[in-house]
Amino acid sequence: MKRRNFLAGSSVLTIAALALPIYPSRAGEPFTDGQTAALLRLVKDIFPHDALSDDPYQAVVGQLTGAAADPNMLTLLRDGLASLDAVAEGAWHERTEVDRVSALKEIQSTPFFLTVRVMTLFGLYGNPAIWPAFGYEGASYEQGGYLFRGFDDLDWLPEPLS
Amino acid sequence: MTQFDQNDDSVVVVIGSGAGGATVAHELCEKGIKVVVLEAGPRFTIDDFHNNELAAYQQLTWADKRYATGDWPAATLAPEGPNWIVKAVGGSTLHWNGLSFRAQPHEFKARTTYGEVEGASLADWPVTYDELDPYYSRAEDKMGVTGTHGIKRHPANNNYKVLYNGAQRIGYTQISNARQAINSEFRDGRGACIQLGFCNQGCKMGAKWSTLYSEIPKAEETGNLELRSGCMVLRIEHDKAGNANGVIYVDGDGVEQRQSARVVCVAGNAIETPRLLLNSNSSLFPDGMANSSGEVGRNYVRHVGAIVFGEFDKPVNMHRGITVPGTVFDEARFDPSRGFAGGYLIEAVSLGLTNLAVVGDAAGWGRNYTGFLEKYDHLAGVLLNGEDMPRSQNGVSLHDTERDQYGLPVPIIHVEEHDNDHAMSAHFKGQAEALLGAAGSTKQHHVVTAAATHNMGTCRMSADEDKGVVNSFGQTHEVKNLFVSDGSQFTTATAENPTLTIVALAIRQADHIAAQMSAKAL
Repeated sequence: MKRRNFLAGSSVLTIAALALPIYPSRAGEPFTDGQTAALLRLVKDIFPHDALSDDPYQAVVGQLTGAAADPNMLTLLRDGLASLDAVAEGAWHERTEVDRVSALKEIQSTPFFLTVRVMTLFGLYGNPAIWPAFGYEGASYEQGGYLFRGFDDLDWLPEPLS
Repeated sequence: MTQFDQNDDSVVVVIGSGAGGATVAHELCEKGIKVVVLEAGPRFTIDDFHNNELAAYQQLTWADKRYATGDWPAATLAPEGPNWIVKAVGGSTLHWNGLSFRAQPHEFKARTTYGEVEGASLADWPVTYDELDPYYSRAEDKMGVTGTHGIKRHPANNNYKVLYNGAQRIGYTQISNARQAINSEFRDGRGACIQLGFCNQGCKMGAKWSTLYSEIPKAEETGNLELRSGCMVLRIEHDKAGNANGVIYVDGDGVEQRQSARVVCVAGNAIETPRLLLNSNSSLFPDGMANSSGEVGRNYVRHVGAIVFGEFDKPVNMHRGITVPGTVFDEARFDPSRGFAGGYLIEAVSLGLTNLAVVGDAAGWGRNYTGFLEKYDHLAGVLLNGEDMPRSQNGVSLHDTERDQYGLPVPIIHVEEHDNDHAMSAHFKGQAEALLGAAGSTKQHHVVTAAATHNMGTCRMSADEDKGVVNSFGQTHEVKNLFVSDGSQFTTATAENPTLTIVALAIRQADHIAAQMSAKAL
């Protein structure tokens, strides 16, 4: 209860939210195919990266679906998707990107949007599978750090004088 | 392992095992004094640390509930987690960056130097730079600070190259990558840095000084230390004369315990330290222990902070190597012509992708934000670390009704920022943009830092017992055998990262306690 209240009540992210657990992934239930498609569209529109495949976004949808085992979360997500359809006057996820983003801006302060944003933030950027696309190399200890792997390979500026 | 009886009233009890607590404990143990350290968090080993931002955050962070109020960014961006500090043996020496600068002589005389600043509670420290100088030297030797005691500095990493060249091109002359308590080669039983890039997540090389694997095991080797982890202190008790005589704590099994004490040193970081004193109220100390001045919990300072990231056409790979690899000191001077009192440091800084996505824009989403994140390996960062103005109304108080898992009132951290802080921050942003631009950055991205990591001033030192909580040795004015051993003692923030000064003060405090014990004054 406390965690959901925090998510719903936060106007914006706190770094303390880093302590959120990653929910176990679940497939399908309890959403309709249309709702699942809309959730995928939603997490991609919140943090769109054209270079990424759908896989890491699908993983986030799986986490959202897992979190929806909590009936309050399920209601939040279902009602939120319905509110998007209402703003879009039809199936939100079938609209153009411009129209979808415009609808999202109208609901960006709602607990629904903030909750999905926070969970996508951690689910996506905390997923090591996407890091190579950004040039972030992650854990280095097992490879001996960067001392012999480019910690000082920037060659387009002069070397500092010490 | 040494164990002391809980009724042994000859021991010094130290609360907290971070930079201040573990240092004062170790120094006392070396002098043959028996010490019990009570640490609220668990004891990890170096092997337990994660090269992963999320996992390390979850492992190390002090996540007990706190509230932020006032007009500082934390009140809106991190209303229930305004302070990023560590709950584990070693305290925040596990996640600190290792920057070890001495505060400047004039900063110990902030009130005299800056004059009257309206709306600020500036004061001079009751200790001078010259008095602290030999203790700074001992601290630098203890911690292995590069550029001191013949310890060589680290090679320049990519992020430092950007800072250095940008700074030089806009006319700065005081640029350095020295003064790091990170081993550049094997020293004092600690390994050498291999540029892991995870300084804030617990150094897996043990190259960065931390009390977890320096002061604490050394103190244990003397046979004079017992460290009890997982023990949260609830209150300090006193005898009829008003001298501290023991502490009540909850052990790892949730059982309430009492440890008798000859002397008590509090070093729980500048939130928990005043909170404990306020919670230790009694008929003799109705407003909290050692609080007849009413200054316990007040004058909280945390440094003015901000980050600017520059985008470059060519790769930087800022994540490779030391997280905060170098510093510009030109703006650390006292120069009111800039429109503010106090000075600031400009420090190169990197974040991993996860933390960058989290803090880069606390409400960010959409293509504008993801476009910035996609520049990840072409980004370099610079950080502001500046002296903020102390204010009487800024600080730590106790929630009227809400209790935490220990049954203690939840702390509320209130900050009303001073205009001087805003003027400094604006000046930094201009300089940071110029610096990054001079190094070749085509676009800059401003980040508001919410969670405070440098917490200071909430039990400030003062010569006059009405104007502060402790004297120049960290000894409370009101209870002679009660000491404050962490950054809570700071009278003002200074522009420098606080740890070296905390350690220097702790060494000096241990000398004082030992002398007073020998003289039977304690």
